[in-house]
Amino acid sequence: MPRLDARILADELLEFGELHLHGRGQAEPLDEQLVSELSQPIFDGGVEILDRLEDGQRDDAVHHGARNVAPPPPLRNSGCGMSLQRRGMTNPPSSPDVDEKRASFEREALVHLDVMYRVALRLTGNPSDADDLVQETMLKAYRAWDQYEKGTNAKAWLLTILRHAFINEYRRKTRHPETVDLDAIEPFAVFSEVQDDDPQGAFFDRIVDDEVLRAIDKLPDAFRETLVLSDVEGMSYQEIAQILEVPVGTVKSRLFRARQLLQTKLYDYAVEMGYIKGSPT
Amino acid sequence: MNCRECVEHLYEFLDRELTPELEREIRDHLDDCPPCGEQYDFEQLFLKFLRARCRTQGAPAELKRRVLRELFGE
Repeated sequence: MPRLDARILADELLEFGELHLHGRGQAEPLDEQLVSELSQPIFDGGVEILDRLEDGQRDDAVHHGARNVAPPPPLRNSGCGMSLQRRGMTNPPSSPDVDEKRASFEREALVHLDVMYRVALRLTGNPSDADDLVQETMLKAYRAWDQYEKGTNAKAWLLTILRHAFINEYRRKTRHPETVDLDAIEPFAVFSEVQDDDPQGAFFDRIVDDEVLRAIDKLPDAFRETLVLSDVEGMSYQEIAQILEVPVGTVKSRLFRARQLLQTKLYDYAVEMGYIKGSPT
Repeated sequence: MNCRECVEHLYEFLDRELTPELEREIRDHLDDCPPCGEQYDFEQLFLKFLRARCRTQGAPAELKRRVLRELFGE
């Protein structure tokens, strides 16, 4: 498959069927801070209904495969043949078309800015690159907004764009190429280790945010991105498979091993800090 | 459903990714098997802990302003 160019255009995006993600949207809870900062009239209207549907948690529809990829929508501007750029030039900035595009982008895409940032931060490993990656993703997404079928799964669509941008422009320079043999990582069940002393996993409570994030950042790339999309952002296996372009079975096995590996790292840290008795693994 | 099968599917069960039939089998097993029940509690707690620790951070206000400026010239 061809890689997305840095200067991705709407037409190029259209070629990627996987970007047209359908199914039930996993809306984020309405971000009060974002709402107040961006202020009215941006977030008026129906956004609350969409965004209060679920708390990023998986719902009953997940295991029924409701989030499958549908074929790309037909070209909607085939009649007038206007490209995005030309439309922008022919319409004055305040035309109803532009207003509507902006309103729907704010309603469906900008509400996911926090998610984009958190994922970008875990991918790039530093705030400055995360800022740039999010900025670039939002710009690409806005340019390609006409290709996104409104009311479907904007979060997954945006994350796909974000990941492509990351692979093309950041992975090479921010992290060393992956040299870890994922299959060589031995699964280790922390539960069996703490079963007698701390079956409730109380030691987790003593580990602070930064330490958890640091441990996640030490995971191999493939494990880290899977775990972040699932366990931090609450996406389904199917959605993650679409974003990462791997089979669902791969998501499942990576997630299983990523969680075990993270538990092991946190357990070792807790032992080291004296939060729990035991010996490092 | 034995313990090995149950533990093997535990994450999928927690993630609500199983078919209704398999989900019911796991639930029945967990009800009858205290050790598996304990492991279920432990893994569930771990996932909740992870989510709570990692979601405190959001996009910085300056980034939000920057994106709006870039997209809409504000």
